[in-house]
Formats: sequence, C-alpha cells, structure tokens
Amino acid sequence: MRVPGIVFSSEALLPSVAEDRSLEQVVNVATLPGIVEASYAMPDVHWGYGFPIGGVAATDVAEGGVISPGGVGFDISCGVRLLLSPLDGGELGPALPALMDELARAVPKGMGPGAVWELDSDELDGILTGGCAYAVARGYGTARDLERCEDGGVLEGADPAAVSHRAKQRGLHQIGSLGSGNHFLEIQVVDQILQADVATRFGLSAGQVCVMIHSGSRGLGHQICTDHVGLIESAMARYDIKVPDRQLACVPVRSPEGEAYLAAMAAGANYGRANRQLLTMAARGAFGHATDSDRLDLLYDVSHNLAKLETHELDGRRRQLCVHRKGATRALPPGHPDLPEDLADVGQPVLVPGSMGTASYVLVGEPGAGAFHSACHGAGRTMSRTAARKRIRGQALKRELAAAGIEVRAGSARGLAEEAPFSYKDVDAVVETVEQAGLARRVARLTPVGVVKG
Amino acid sequence: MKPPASKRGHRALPHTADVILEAWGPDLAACLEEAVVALASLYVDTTGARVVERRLVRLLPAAPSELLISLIDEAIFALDTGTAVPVGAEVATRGDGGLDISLQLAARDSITPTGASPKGVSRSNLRLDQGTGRVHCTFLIDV
Repeated sequence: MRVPGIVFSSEALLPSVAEDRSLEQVVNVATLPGIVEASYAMPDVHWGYGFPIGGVAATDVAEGGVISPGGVGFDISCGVRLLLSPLDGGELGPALPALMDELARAVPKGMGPGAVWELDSDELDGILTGGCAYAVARGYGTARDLERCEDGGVLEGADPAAVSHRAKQRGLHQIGSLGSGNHFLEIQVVDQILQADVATRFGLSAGQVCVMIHSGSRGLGHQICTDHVGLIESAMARYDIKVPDRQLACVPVRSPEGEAYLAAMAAGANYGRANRQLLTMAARGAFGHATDSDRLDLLYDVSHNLAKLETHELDGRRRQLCVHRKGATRALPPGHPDLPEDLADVGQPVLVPGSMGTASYVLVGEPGAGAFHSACHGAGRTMSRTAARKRIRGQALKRELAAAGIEVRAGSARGLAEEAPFSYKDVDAVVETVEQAGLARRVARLTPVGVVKG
Repeated sequence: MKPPASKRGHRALPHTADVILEAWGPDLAACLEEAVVALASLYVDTTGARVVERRLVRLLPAAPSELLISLIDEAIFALDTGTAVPVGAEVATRGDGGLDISLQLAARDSITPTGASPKGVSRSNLRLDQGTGRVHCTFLIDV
C-alpha cells in the first residue's frame, strides 16, 4: 500500500468481510502508482470489480499518477438528476396512476435498443462532443437545464474518434433510455426539510413533487470501458506497472493510452448526461399529458462514476489530481468556482438515491470536507441479486409497494425482485454517517410514490 | 462453492452488486457454449425461444480467457444492438488457437425478459482453468 485506506462508516454499515470483498478492494486501490492521501471508501461502499463501489482515489498527474478505467466503472457518468415540480403530493394524487402509465409508455427501459431520440451518426458525434448542450441546442431542453448540470452539461476534452465503432453502434439507438438493474425514474415527494435555508435556495419545500432519474451512458459507456481496459492492460508493461486485480489496469494520465481513455471517457460522460436530459424531456411530456403542469425544473445533475482532472491543495501545494469517483458523488462546498452562479454561496446539491420504497436524500457540500470533496452515491447493496430473488418474488414485492402507496411500473418481475429494498443498506444511516464524517449535510428527505424500473 | 459434478453446465454465484457466472464442460468449446447460456439465463427465459438468426463470428487466436471475454462481449453487443436476442452458441476451436462461433439469436416476441441485462464483462477475478477432460470458467458480469 502506498497510502492508507480510509473507510467512512459505522460498525453497522461496515461490509461483511465474509460475503463482500470491498475492503480488500480498498487495499488494492491503495497500491496504484501516484495515489495521494488515501484510498477512500464512502459509507455505502460495497463489492465492485477492481475498485470498490463507493471508492474515491486521486493520483498526482505531475508525479506519474495513473488513470484507471476500473476507477470509473463500466457505466461512465452514471449519475442522478432531480427535477422539481410546482405540484404537491395532494395535487398529484388523483393523477398518479395515469402519470405512471404515461411514464411507462414514454420511457424506454429494459434490455436492448430503445430511445427517445433516434440518432444518425453525425448527431451521435454531436452528443459525444457536446453532451447536454448539444441536446438542448437541438430543442431537447432549456438553457436553465444546462446551468444546473455539472460542468454545464459538457465535459471538455471529448473526442468521438477515441470511441470505437462498436461503442458507437451500441449508442445509436439508446439515447433517452433507462436501462435495467438499479436504474430508475421515481416520482418522489419531499417528506422532511432538514436545512430550511438551504432547501429554500434549492427550491425545495415540504410536500413538493419531484422526479429523480438514475441512469448512465448505457451500452456505449460500457463498450468504451471494455475497449480501453483491454488497451491499457496490454500497455502496462511498458510503464512497468503491476496491479493486484486485472480490472485495476492503469497507465499514467499523461501517456498516449491515458489521454485516449480520458478523451473517450469524456465522450461517454457527455452521452450519459445527454441521456438523462432526454429522459427529462420524456418525463416533462408525461407530466404534460397526465397532470396540470409539465414544468419540471432541474435542481442538479451529477455523475457518480467519473475521473476528473481537478486542482486540490495537498501538503501546502496546489496540485492537479486525477480524482476517480466510482459510486461516489462530487460534493463541492460553498464558494467553489465550479458551482452554478446562483448556488455559489450555498454549495452543490448532492443527490443520494434510495432503493425503491425507501427514502432518497438531497445533501449539500460542506466547507473543509475531506476525500477531495466527495460523498456517498446511494444506499449501497448488501445482498446479492440471487439472494434477493430467493427472498421475494417480483409480483409480491409489487403488491407490498402498492400497499405502501408506491405505484411500480417494471420491465420484468425478476428484475424488480433483484432490486428489493431489503437488498440495500439503511439509507438514513448512510447519509447520517456522511454528515457525521463532515462530507456533506442533509437538506431534505424524499419518499417515492411512483417507480419506473427497467 | 464447489462446482457440481455434471459434465457440462452453468450457474450464477453471489456478488453484491453484479453477478458472477460459472460454466464448465469437457472441453473449451463446451465450456464457452455453457458460458453463453449462463449469460442468457440472466435476462431471459428461453422456454419456447424461436431461433431466427445465427450470427457467425470468427475470433482471432488469443489466450483462452481473452477468447471468453471476446465471446461474452459479442453476445452483449448482439443483445444491445439487434432485434433478436442471444440465447446460445455453437463454438468450434480452430487449430490456430482461434474460435468459430455461431451465436443463436431468438425473436424478441418468443422470449420473456426476466432480469437485469448484462452490459459488460469484467477482468476482475476472471478465471479459465483447463484440466484433463474438464474446462471451467468464472466471470463477473456488470448489470
């Protein structure tokens, strides 16, 4: 280990060493060349591949620090956005079943092709280069949407030429689609306001209806990861790099292979952000059909699978670091120059999705927080998909959720069972631990009333 | 967990977020065929599946574990891009160390989606062991 491993957790949230190898993965990440400060894990940490999910690691670019596609994950720029409706729960109530039917129809989900926008190859290149900004310029959204996206919705440095033909083929017919697994679109209601002043600045009020979207860069991002892990693994010997896990394959950031991955990853990130933008347009359309208002204002859109070149002060020096967040959310404090102008004195909204049937949270970045301004990204799984399926059937879970007042529209019953709420850690305990660790502060708690799953 | 004693087969093993698949057979070709069926078992019930297309894929010579990655990548690519769904494969090993594959694709209206779709195969904990009369592999699928 070149640096210590630091896990933000409580005893109850610590992964079981017998069933979950995430702590071993924290140790493995600590061996990466150029890593600084620590190999961090958030309270929602769980077993991934290469990196743990919930892991944060930064490398010093000028000191030969590496970039690892495994530190980003297959689903590049997987992330969350929260949209705010002017409706409250009482106003929505009678329209909810019709809204859910409309969303189930308008939101492509599940396996294979399916898109809100069928692209041609020039349009795909536009998305890869311009992300949300390209989608908005083509009529899919508003200028305000861009103001509230991380990086204005466009990650600089993207190069479509660094993305393989195969990845592009996977991306042509999936822009504006949810996918499957843990991805979702939820109708939520603000259940508790925990920081009134910040909530007001975020535009959140008790009882308000919100839409949370959790999705990523679909098959295109996965293919970029597959392609570049292979290229980088075969180049490692040239840089005399050995890693304890093949999915940790890495090269110096400033190497031809590292630069090529960064350019492809940025393109994947732009696709992921545009994907959530297109899903937003589908949600607005569904609200317009089924309710009195199609207005859904974006609070924020943030990735939780990304590597970014950021400047941080370390040992009294400002250094350019490559910060990998895999299943971890950037959490900028008040005053940070990368915040949207109107949130500059408040801090960044940190979006923490729960697990269908449990709460989600909005947090805000804290001054002086550690882990390179990072916080958790969700509740974090504790149970395997096979174990979840053995414990409950999809139809039974759907009935349980309906009894709790949650309408579900799911692509497959087994997929629904795999995502049963009991498969995850207690999200209330996870965000409480994040706050105790000084990483971010709770602003509002949201509970679901409708869930669309792949 | 010890694999069952059957000559060929497949199963899923627990993993917190994703899925570990295990496949085995009397030779490399049989093991890889089982690996594709294992993959399909994640997302589809193949009962009554109507195969409507056979996609021929030629893999260049490579280490067996790389051939496994390429084969699974081909199946995932077909699932993500086509109108038919991979449900199996016929695999033939070539003398030069490569593979000739015929991916069996079923009509979407003949199958029932069951679980989360596979999206990538990880190199983490990838294993392919070749013993006398038995080839065994484990691989982790991102879903």
